[in-house]
Amino acid sequence: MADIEQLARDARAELEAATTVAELDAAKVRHLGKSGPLVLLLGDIRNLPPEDRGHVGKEGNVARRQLEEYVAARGAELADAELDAQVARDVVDMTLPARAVPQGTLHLLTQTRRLLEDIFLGMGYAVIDAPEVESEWYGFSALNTPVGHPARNPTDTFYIEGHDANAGANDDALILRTQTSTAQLRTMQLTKPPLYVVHPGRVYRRDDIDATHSDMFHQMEALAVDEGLTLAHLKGTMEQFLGTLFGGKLEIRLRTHFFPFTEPSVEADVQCFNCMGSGRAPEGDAQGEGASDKCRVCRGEGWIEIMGAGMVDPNVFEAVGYDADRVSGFAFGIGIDRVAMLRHDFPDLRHLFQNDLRFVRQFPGRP
Amino acid sequence: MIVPYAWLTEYISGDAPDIEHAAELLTISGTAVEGITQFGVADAGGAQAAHFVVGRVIEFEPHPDADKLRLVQVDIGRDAPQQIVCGASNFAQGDTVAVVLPGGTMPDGMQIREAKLRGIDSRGMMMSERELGLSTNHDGIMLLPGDWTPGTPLHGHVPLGDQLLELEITGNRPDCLGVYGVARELAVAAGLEFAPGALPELAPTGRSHVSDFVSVDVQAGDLCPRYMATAFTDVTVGPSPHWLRARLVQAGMRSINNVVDVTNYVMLLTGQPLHAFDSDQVAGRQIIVRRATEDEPITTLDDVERKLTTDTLVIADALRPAVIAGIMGAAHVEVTAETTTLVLEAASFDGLSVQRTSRRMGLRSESSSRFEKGLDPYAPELALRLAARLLTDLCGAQLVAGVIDVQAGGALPPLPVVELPAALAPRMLGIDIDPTDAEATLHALGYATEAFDDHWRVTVPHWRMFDTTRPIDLVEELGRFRLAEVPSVLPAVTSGGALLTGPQRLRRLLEDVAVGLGLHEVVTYGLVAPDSATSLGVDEEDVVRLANPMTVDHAELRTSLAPSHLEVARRNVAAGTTDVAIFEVGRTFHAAPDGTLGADGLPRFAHERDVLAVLLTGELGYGRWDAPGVPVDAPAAVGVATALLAAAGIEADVRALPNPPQWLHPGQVAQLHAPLDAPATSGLPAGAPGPLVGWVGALHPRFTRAQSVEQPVYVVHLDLAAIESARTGVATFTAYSEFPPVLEDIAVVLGDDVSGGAVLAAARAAGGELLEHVTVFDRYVGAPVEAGHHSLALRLTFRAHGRTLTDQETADVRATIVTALAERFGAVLRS
Repeated sequence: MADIEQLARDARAELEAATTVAELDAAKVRHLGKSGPLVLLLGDIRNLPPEDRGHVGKEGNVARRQLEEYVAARGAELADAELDAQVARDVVDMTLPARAVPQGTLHLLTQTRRLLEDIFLGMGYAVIDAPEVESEWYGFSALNTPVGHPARNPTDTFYIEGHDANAGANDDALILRTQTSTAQLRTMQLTKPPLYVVHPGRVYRRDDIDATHSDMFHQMEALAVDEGLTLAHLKGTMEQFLGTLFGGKLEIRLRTHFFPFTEPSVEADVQCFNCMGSGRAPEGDAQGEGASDKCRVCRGEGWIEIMGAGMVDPNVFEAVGYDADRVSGFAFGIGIDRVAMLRHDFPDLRHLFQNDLRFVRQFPGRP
Repeated sequence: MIVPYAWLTEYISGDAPDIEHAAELLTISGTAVEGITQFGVADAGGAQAAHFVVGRVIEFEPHPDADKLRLVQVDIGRDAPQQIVCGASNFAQGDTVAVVLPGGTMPDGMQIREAKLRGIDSRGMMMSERELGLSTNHDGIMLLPGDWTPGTPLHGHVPLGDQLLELEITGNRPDCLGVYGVARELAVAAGLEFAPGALPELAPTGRSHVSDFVSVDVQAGDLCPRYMATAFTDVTVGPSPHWLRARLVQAGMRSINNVVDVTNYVMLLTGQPLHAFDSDQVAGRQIIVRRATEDEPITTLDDVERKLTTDTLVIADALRPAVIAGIMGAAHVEVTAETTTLVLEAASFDGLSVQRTSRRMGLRSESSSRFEKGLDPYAPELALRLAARLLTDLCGAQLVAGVIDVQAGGALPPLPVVELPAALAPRMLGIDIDPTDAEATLHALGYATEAFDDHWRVTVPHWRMFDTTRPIDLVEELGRFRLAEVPSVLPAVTSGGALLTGPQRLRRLLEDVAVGLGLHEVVTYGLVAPDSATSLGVDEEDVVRLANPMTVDHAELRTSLAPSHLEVARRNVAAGTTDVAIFEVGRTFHAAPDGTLGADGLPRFAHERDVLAVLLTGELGYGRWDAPGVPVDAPAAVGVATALLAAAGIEADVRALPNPPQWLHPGQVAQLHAPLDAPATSGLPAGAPGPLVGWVGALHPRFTRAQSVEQPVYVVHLDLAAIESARTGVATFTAYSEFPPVLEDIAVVLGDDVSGGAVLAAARAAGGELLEHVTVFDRYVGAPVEAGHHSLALRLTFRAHGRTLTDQETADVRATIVTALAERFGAVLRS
């Protein structure tokens, strides 16, 4: 019969000699595994003389338990040390370029369109959509723009091939709409007053493409029709809208103008948000070569011409079956592209449509 | 239009505002001032007045040291003569000349100082017309009328300088195409009185009668509501007086001769063009107002022979056209130095007709640009009377007796009378206007009013008769001088709460998700090159083309965003940005038959669809700086497409598209369908695709190489309306099983013509409710699978609600799937 004490001493020595978790596991298997001498001895206990079984079993189990406790404690100790060593080795220079996790950008026009939409949504207006290919009736006649008005001429407006007979004087001729005001008509045809809507959309004109002109650009139309609306409501709405858009309380200046579909018609100027109307370049504005002391946003005017507006002409109401004696309304149109250029300070409209990603990426988006 | 400010203020009584203030008043009330510029001598009537004086040559002698210079003693009204050294030689003793003295500043900014010229003192300069900006004549110095007193300020005789208002006149205000009209506007805005002076009466001085010189036959009264003419004898054609020439030059016109200058001056003043004929050249002494015959020739004043059309109105003599009505005269009746008798025309022409003729012929003049705005038929008489006085005064002309005045329909159209409810202006403007003030404004503008209890009866002056015909037009008249009084009031918006519509929210969602997927949004033109659509295989008759494109590359409306996006890729790749991942929500256009209605019941004139288009080329994301990147490939493109659809709540059913259009890669295109249980689906067989919502694929290399893009390009096309209608509404909760899934893998051998998407769809259909999910986890080609075939390994996930599935249940479903695949595709289960 093997000496339990000796077996335990041998096992202990080998376990203590292990310096890694792997060595410890191997020694554990040798001594405490199925064929470990102590395990075999305890497994064979029924073959011992009855008087030995008791103390051998007791001593053997105590020795095994002690060894197992040692393995558990030592194992944890070694694993901890190994993890520390591992972590100490796993150093990464986190400042090197990251993986290129892609992040896109919304186009400035979309950012601007949403901003304009959101301001009006907050004021209780709905956003509506409208077609871009229109008839002369929607594009001109119903907007009180008579035959002979220069805008109706094929030199100014795109006509659709095959639908351009007697262009300029034919309600059924087809055009690319030149203004978002067409949406006024369609929404009034569908909805009874009161009506508070905006319509952002695309329009086309026969203009040569340069820094401030394009054969395609974007406008947002606003239309309010209700009982008792006046020019004062138009002014108040513009003030609220433009103040939110450009930040702060900005003054509005109305100038008499002419649009066929509104009467009275006005152009609205907003106090320059850059110089707050002083016309002088604010401190901190770029003072590079050629810089002047004039505000570069309003060119020293103190005002920015921002939109055309007016009270809806009774003839427009008549075209859609509204009763001009009962309701009145105001409408205005603002250039989305122009707002983007003003807010983001770039001088050339073409950037918006050239889609050089070096431009697009500059505006990650805080509409 | 350009208006010299000092000229304008001649017609305003009282102290006119300074020009900056005037500009503001005009701008606010509707006559936009686009600029203020200085012409000629600055401050000519103020500080500079004493430096520019009339001089008279007392005597002169040659300069002792310079052959071409003269030493001149000039009387400038002082005790001692002024000594001036002069290079000109076109003057004689006793001539009256224009002198600038030391201290004067010339129009070009040159300061005049006392100087020595070749050793001789010179105290001032004698001026040429060019030096004063009056003409381009620099042949010699200006010679002035002998009755001008030496030493008097020149500016008292000739307007030496003025500030010019550059005005934008809106189309509704042809009355402001004359100085009078603008002066009236400014007077009202400034609270002053418009004072044009009394209109001169026609005072015949000759013995003959107009009928001795001309008869007028208006054959086209529809295009000529009024034709007035009179005649003058004993005309001396010559240069105009300096003041007249100065006015014309300042207003941007050239001086021709005294007769033509008078007609132009009166036009600038009143806005009403006039035309003067050499009466002796008017064949048959007949003026016939008629339409031209086809190809009828006329040689206009600019010496161009032109062919006319039958809708051109002409003023003809007995033989041929003498004027293209309202636009330009013919050379043969032109007033020349030899002219002694004149016929003067003051007429009213149909604006639209003038506009059309002018545009068609590409011929514009000061006259046509006024007529085309629609001038009133009362104005000719005013212009005729002013011109008659000036011709008599300046050209020695004798006015004959009688005036021809042909009015279409025998009378002038009556002036509009408008009933203006007193309450209307406050109701529209949001301000109270004192009735007395309102009447005063209307009177100042030329309206006559008659007050009643609750309204005014307003008679419109002739110069506003086409523009102001309704009560609302008078509201504008009252409002435009009171805009600063209009308060800011926010309306109580009563249309109810606002929310973006479903399609609008879908658009925003997809835009945001696209950005999150790493795509940059672009905005491209809606107009594209001709034949863009047909090169994409779109039928000819489905394309919407422009009748009048501006440029060759913007000739039709796009049917697809892909060509524009490929162009964006090309430009960026060429600029060094080789990884291009872009998207755009844009509109496409296809022709619609007449009578097409939209979902809202209103007409549609084209099929307009909003599309989300994506283009991917180069590397897309998750690359490492120290390892080669992974180029975009087909699975990546499908991944982007399905991710976008997933964001919209659509689990994409991707199906092969075996015969795509030529511009797409024949082996790399798939269609994207909504699932079969999408709301828009009804009655489709199991395993059939749901509604089509888009497609994804590679552009054909031949198509991309044509645009010099060599790297593979993938595109995605999603139809927003189709997605919107395939979406479920508000998502509601679906209970999920608390029990564990059972996973099983099977492998089937399939012919290579069978697409994975179809196999998955068939498996899904066959699996029924117990099959929670199925996907492909391996595709194997090669032995022992026979050629033309491949092995597809499917992972099936089974799960039931409320219980654990039995082995028998999963085995049954699995068998059903295998059978379905065998029947549908000839699939053979691999053991």
